[in-house]
Amino acid sequence: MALFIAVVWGAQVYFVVRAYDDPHVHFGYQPFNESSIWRGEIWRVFPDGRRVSIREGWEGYHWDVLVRDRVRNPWNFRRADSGVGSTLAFVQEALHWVSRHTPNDCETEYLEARIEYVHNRREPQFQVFRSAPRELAPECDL
Amino acid sequence: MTGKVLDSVSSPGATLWVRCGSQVQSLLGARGNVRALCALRGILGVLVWLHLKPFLKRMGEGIAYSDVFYDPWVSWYPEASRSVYFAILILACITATCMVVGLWSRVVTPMTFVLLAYNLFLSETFFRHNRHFLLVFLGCLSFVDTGRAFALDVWIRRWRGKPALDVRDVPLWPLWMLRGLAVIPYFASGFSKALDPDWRSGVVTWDRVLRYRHHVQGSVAEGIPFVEGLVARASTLEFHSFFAPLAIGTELFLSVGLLWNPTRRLAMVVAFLFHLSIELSASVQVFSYLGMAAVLIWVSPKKT
Repeated sequence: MALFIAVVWGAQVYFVVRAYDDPHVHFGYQPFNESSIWRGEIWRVFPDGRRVSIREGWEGYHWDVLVRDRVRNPWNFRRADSGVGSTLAFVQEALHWVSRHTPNDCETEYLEARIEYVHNRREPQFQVFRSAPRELAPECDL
Repeated sequence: MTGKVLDSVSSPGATLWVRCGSQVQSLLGARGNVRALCALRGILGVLVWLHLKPFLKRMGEGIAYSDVFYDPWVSWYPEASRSVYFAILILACITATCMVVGLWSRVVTPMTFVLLAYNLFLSETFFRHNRHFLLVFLGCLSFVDTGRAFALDVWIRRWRGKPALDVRDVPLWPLWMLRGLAVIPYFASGFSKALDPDWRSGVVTWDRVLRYRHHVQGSVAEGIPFVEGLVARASTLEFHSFFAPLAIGTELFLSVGLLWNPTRRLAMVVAFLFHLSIELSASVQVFSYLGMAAVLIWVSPKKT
């Protein structure tokens, strides 16, 4: 019994320590850790280099319909849930997910996001993210 | 037997070690009154419902977790189909309801824990500290027979003519485990904030107030001199240079004060007020309610 309790407590302490090196601070209990805010613009990038914003939707898709958690509505400044590090990590994952789950889009080579964030009232910072190059759906060849 | 062991030990260090060991053994073997944990089981059932609300809302729209962006924790995690996922959510609602009324408490509490844990580990986007905290409580209460008070289980036993189970004679080791896990959030949160110069200086809380003070405007509180004066004062960095260290100190105090007998009662009151104030000033899902309910685990489990 003592061993079981020690393992459970030890695991929790491990996650608390690990959270200092985890952008999402999983199981680390660091609520309200930042007051940071962020916003972003996302584009479809075509093979010829053209870029078109997805703000108004594309090929029947809308970012806010596909992305409901964490990085929804990136167009206006909003609070960075669990800190900027977590938000940026989710932006990258969301770009990958959306690029893989939009089969009707037969033109986009990859998605690109330019994120502006303000960490605890400091100067604004910018970071660019790209999805992996898309594999077009078989229907696109028809 | 312990006496013999003690007699055979000569060095003071070894004596201390043996004494600590025997104290740990006696703590782990202790039995006591879990009436407060029985009440907590019912409250947790309500909190599980609150926790499930956003998932149920999405289910009502016909949206499963995999229909929208989600971020698996690990690639090998078994993913539920749409219908199975919805069934899991519905089953969690049923088990939560059973927890509230205390029906089959020994079974439904671990079931609720497993169902909620499965849901949490479907996507990293589902992670929140309050959900983790809720799982910790459900997990620990899974080891306790919380159907001995404030439960339909009691009535059912009586109706079947079986003798009542004594709520004052239950193994307490899950309670010790839960108490240890319940103070870690206070320490982890307070310590991380104490290390962060932005937090220590008050910038983080100040900035949050500046961003959200407009909520007072247009609300029922607008025009009330006391509230407006409070908001004006809370909008200054000077206020937060005092408030932030106070918040950090409160969390660190709770992490020790709840464990130490002489300060426990004071810490219980402070913890309750602390979570109440958070609930009034921020939206943290079920964390505040859970924090206030968690005071119950610090009620003495003495048999009398």
